[in-house]
Amino acid sequence: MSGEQQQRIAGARERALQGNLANGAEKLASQNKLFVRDRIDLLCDPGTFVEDQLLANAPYRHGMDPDLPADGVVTGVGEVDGRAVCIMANDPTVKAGSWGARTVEKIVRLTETALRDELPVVWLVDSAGARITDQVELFPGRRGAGRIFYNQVRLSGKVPQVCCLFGPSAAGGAYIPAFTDLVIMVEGNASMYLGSPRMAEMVIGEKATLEETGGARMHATVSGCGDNLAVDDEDAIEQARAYLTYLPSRWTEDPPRYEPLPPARILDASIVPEEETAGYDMHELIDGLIDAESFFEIKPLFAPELVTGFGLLEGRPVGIVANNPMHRGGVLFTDSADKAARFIWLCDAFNVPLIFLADVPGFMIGTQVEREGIIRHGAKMITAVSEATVPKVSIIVRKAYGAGLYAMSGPAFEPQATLALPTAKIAVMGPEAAVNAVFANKIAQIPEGPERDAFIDEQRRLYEEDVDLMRLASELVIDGIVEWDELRVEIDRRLVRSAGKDRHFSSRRHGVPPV
Amino acid sequence: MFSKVLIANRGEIAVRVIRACREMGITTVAVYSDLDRDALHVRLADEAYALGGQTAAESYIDADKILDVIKRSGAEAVHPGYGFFSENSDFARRITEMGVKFIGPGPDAIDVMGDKISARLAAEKVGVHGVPGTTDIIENPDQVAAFGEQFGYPIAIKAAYGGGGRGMKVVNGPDDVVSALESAQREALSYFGRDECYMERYLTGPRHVEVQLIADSHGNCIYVGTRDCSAQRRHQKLVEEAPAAGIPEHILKEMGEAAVAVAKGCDYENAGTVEFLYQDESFYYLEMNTRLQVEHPVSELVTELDLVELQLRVAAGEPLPLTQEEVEIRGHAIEIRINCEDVAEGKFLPSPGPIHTLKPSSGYGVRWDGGYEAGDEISQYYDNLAGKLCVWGRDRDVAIARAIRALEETVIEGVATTIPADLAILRHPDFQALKHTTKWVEDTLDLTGIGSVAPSGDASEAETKVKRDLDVEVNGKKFSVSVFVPESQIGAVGPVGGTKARPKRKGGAAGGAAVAGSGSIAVPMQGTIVKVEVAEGDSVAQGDTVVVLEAMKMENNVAADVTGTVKEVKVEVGASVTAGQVVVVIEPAEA
Repeated sequence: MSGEQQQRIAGARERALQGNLANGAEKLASQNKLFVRDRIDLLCDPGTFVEDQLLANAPYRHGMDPDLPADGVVTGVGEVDGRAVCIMANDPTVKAGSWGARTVEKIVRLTETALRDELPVVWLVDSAGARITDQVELFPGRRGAGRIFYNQVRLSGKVPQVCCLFGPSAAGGAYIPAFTDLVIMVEGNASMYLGSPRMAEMVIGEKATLEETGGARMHATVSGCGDNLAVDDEDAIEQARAYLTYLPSRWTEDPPRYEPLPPARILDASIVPEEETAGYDMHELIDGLIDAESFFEIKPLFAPELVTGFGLLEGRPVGIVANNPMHRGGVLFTDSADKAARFIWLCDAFNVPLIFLADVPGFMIGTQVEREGIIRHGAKMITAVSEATVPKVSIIVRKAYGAGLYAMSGPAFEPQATLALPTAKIAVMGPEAAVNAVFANKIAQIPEGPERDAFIDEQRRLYEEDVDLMRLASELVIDGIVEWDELRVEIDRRLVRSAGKDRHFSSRRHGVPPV
Repeated sequence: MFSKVLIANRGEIAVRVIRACREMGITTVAVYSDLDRDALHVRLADEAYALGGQTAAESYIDADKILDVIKRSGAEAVHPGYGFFSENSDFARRITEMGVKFIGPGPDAIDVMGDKISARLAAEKVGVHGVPGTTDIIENPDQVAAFGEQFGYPIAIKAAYGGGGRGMKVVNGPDDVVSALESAQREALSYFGRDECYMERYLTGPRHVEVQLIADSHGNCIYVGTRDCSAQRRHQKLVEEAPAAGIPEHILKEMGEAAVAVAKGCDYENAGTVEFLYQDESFYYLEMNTRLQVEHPVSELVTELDLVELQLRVAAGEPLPLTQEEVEIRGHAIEIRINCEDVAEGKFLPSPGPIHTLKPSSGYGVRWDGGYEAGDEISQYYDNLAGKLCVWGRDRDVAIARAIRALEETVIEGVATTIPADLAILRHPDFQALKHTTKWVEDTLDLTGIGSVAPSGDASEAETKVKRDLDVEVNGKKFSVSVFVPESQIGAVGPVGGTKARPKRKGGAAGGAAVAGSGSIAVPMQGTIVKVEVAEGDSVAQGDTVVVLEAMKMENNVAADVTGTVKEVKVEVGASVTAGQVVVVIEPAEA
């Protein structure tokens, strides 16, 4: 090979590795963004990244645009904490990270690698959308952008997919995050929308800011399209790495195990207030249950009346679904049911056992939620709970009323066990509501005063006697009443001993779940 | 002299004070939480009283409980150690009112030095100045340039509502002023929602130098040499030395005299420390610590004084037994703090748990101030300082070599410790050449590849019965008895096979920075208002409850989303509200 050829290739490689940093560095810095290759360095164990198609669009003859290095996207396989993952990273210095013909082909190929080798995918997204000049090559065809989404759907549940969103993800591009399992958005920079505010103003006459239309905080609190917020690029990548530590590389494997640690606080009855109507923060119970500093909460700002997240129990990853009476009384709403269903599917797909911590007055009632379809959303959560064949343990912390008991994997939903803490109550509804419902006419007949109060008190006492926790244990409705200081060990032993569980659920193509 | 002293502390400092008392023939009273039932300080004290509870708040800093023990035990004085009540003027006042002596400064001196602003004013009153700066909000770049003209560059521009170095910009010269100010304001706005900034002189590489003081109640105050504590991480000191080396004699004297002036200015009594930043032969007042400090042993080693003994004597009203001229500094001393933290990759994560083996080093010039012995447990609820290794040498080089030798000999198993990081510091050429500054550990010291000392489990042994000294508690007072127990009942669980250390990651609780809302407070769900906590005109802070909503038989606190004044309360108790209905309007406080 001639020296000239060698030099030419070396030059092209060098040029491709630089992206358009020469002109774009200042802009990146002003946006507090990292260069695409620095993002990959932060994500991967040092020196493990192997790149595909670095020389995409390398100008091999005169007249070719030299400023489309790698066609604006870096793809390849690296290692995160010693495990291989596929990585797609947009380069915002190259035409704002927009998609050209080769960009889409590279991404399609990356998804094919992930399918073939069953490797997790980390999506480092920062892209203005498709280049309209390349639309025929990248949009409609068999290997157009649609193929990316088709492959992502095939990957879903087979391997973990996590997305860090550093900048815009517009129009069609917004579907890449949507098809991943977790979307981490950098506040201030990240946005997701089908139509930009400018387009919305033109087409439907609505005036709104970018932040209102598709900002990170909006998605993390209102739409639920984003899961977690990050303060900067580094934080987002750190969170993605943390997230992956809880999951296996593929659906056929078990999650990794780590050295166990004692919990960060002592679990005792002081966590639950004596007053039944008072709220408290379920995070305190979670902290007393799982290994110290192991909780990775998912969607902390969305529907906070239900907490979802990963933790380690004696070093083993577990998924936690917990009502949080601190917010909206821990009542289940449409959004909380959504959040729970998605998380349960995630855990079931990747063999992460589930712990349900129930303190739930039931599903919300009233015209507002009925109009939102609380019935079908609740049914969706109960579907996910039913279909989850991963070992489940259901803990009744204070109360489980009505369909709340079902949604939190009550006895009928094949948990390894339904255990109650001594503070627990299980019933169709709370005593007050029940007495008012059953004896409404009778109460109305008694004149207001001591006589009526005495009647209500008596009925209430009878009702509470009827659903006495001891009775539920005596008649084998629940599998046990455990003390606070036994809870961690009880759950751990039951999960450890369920390793041989048959995961078959029902023979069919797939269910027709309510959504 | 007192005949009975209560030590309101735990761990190594409680042990340190108990030992001094015993040497002076003073009866000691220990207090302990549930978790410290068998702690070393309890074993060494003459009497021990249970406080109950686990966390510090439930035990060591529950003033009522301590006061109760003072009454029951008949202690005449209380030594607060460091931390806990040591700088709590309310506690000092309460016990003083009971006629019990607080072994430390008077409550007024604690108050003056406890508040940043009054402490700074008190120092300035006696001509001792801090790093030049202004707390006024910067209005325009000209102010920055004028400041630079007067005090020199670099200047740090800091966010008034910030913290943790975020939003700080360094101005290196007059040409940078405009851009640095703009960028600091922009960052402050994006991080903290407020763009106000102030400025101060930026020290590029300061050292942390402090002066140990002791004052009696007869108006005498002396300084007992200097210490250098520059090797610190996030304001946590790791290695401390006495005296502060490489500083001209006349400057050390000026610092000592400045410290004495500050102490006399606030009628200080007992032991205290004045901290300075030192750079380029100038020193700047930082703060005064009105307590005995963790690193006091290095001053003792180079002066042959017993600071705790002096504390007890001056507290009992005796005059200081020596004058400033009689304080002589001899040789060099180094203290290494051994914390139970996993330093792997520079993360310093707490590593609580039982200590299986603890063999401190000994030999010429070595002193071990510990709070634990093998078999004791480091609790997650308290400071995780296992002990302090202190060495003396005839000069700094000898002391460093001795410290390394002693650290290498020290064996602690069962918990991870900071020993690997301490060794990395002592062995580093920058440290040995005195080139390290307060920023050095964080900016320069490379801790990658420094593994944790893996907590190793007990080797399993035959089921023998071992003699254990057990303490029984009767009426909250402790007695010792010896019993034989099967070893397995006191051993810890061994390591689990087939597992690896978890990559330490911060959790995903990231909610991003707290964002102030609009002030229109809406209820999150349909329900009934059962409490209205504010009225029009009230001031509220972000997070304060404004109304309580009951729905589905559960109470929900609805909180202010912004700090400000309540402009309108739109509901009263009993009102039915729908999700999203605005119930209170808050006028956000002027930015």
